[in-house]
Amino acid sequence: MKNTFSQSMAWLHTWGGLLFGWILFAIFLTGSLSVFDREITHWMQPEISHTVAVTEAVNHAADYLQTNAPDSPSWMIVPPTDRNPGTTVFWQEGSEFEHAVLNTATGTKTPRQTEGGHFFVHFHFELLSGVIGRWIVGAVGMMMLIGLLTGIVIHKRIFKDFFTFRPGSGAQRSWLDAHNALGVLTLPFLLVITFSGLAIFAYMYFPGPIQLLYGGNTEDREEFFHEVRPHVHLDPVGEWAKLLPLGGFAERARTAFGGDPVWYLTVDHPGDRNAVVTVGALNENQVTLSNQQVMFNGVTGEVLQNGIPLQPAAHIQRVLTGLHFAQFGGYAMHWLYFLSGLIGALMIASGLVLFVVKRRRRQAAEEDVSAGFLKFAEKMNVAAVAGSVLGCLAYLWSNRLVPLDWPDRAGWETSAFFAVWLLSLVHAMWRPSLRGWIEQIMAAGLLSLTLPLLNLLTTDMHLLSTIPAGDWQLAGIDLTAVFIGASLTYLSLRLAGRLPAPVEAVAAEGPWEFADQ
Amino acid sequence: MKILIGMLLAYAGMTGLCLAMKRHYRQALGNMPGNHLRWVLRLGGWLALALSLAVCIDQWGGAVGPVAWFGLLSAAALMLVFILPYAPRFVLLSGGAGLAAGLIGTAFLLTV
Repeated sequence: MKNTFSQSMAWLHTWGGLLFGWILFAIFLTGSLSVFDREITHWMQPEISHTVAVTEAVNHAADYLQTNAPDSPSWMIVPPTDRNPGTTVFWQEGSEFEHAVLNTATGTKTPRQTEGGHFFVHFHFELLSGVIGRWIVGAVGMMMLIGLLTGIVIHKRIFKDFFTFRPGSGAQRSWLDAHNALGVLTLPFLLVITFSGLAIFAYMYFPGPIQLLYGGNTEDREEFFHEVRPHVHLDPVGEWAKLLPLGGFAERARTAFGGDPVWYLTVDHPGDRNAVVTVGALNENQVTLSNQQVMFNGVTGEVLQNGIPLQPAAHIQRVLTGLHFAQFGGYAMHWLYFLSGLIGALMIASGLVLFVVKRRRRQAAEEDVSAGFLKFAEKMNVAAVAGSVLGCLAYLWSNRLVPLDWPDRAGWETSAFFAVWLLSLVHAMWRPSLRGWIEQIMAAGLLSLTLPLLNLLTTDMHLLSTIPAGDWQLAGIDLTAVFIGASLTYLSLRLAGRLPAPVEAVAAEGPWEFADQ
Repeated sequence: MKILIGMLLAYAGMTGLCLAMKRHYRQALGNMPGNHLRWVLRLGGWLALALSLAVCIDQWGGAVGPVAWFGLLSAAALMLVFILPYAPRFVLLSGGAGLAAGLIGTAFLLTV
């Protein structure tokens, strides 16, 4: 450790930022994509179009569940909204939840089974690996919070340098300026998104208070959750009784919500005389994440509970959760979240690059890292930043390329993400680092730029049909891909321009001079 | 519409605050500002930001509006930061145009 307080903070910021930044970038990237998870899901299921009403969709979904999961203790239906025309059904099997995406109009499984945009959400909060992943994301998120706070401490001129960016004054200066500007100017967003992200699973990351006040057993925890979110509980009685049509519940709940759309509908122990149907609302004009839900007796149709009486602390937690999930405010807000998230990712990337740039320049003087580690860090940066972008693109590409009749095709799409990311790591380790950057950024640029072209060749919902139809949700994804692809391609060409002519010179000169104008 | 007006005012406000700093004033306009002018820019900047907040609350309501406002502030400031070194002359022009358009828009909102 170091002598003074600010030196200690700088040390923590530097090393914590580097080691955790390798995962943080991907978490911010997938988190940003998660803002548009429904639109991405729609894009990945071009066969489904906006057609039927929610009531009918819910009835179709209920038929599907009745046929395929009659004995499951718990069903969940996520009906179509303005943002995504597909219906997703979940059902419990053992301790796991299975799911399927249905064509809303027919209630049958869509041919193109996929995790859709939810893949990015799932990666974002638990790296697709359950409780362990959730803990990793928690640790990384905590480091992000520490990084923000230590960053504020060691940035001595926050207000003086508020608008400062000097692209022409040396690589280290420019990267530091960029890192500072991106971080400081989006600080409100970064602090809120990081803190609220941790708050979502606070009960898991900080179990102490719950254990102390409620006890450590599973039932004790359930008591806690029941107090947090008080709801009527009916135990199954083991007598069969016919469920009322679920579409009717959705309709009645909508009336109770004052017209707000239905977000989800769950059924506890369907087929039992004590079946409970819960319908939750999607409120777009409040920050608090949906605290509006109606519970019905599934057999008699009687209203069991309307609304959730939240305790103040629980309400605060729901506000924080709402700030993180960003379901409110419409498309302008979604774009702000998306862009802010990408800026956060760029801020992390610039920090990673800065680590290397700084040490490359005065490697002899700076003794905190060996030349070998610096080389390793540089290559890891390439894989962490360019590689995760490539992985996301591979996921979208595989959606169009994996044949529809392959068993577990959704699994193939997920594998494409990880396979390409792994490939990127291997490539980064193999190539000289500047060339690694250039080649991977260019690959990402081209993959992104040509995504609409692939879409044109493989589906009917391409730009030539979506733009004339005014379907900006689908066209928006293709157009965003073009924009990002063009930017990345331009960046890779700029970087290639900085490549010293004789390749041998790279090692001696240090390739990091490219930020100089 | 209101979102655009909020954005224009946020950008104009950030430009005001930015030009109120000697370094950036010189960067954008070549000479040094007087103290009087700097106070005018600073006050005007804050007023434009406040007006932007009011427009956001009008658009999204008291809960969502401030959240959106912070988003617009970040977006406006970042645009400014990247325009400043590459096209310094454009800062005054775009900030002024943003202010004019934002004020006209606000006046329009008030009359409708």
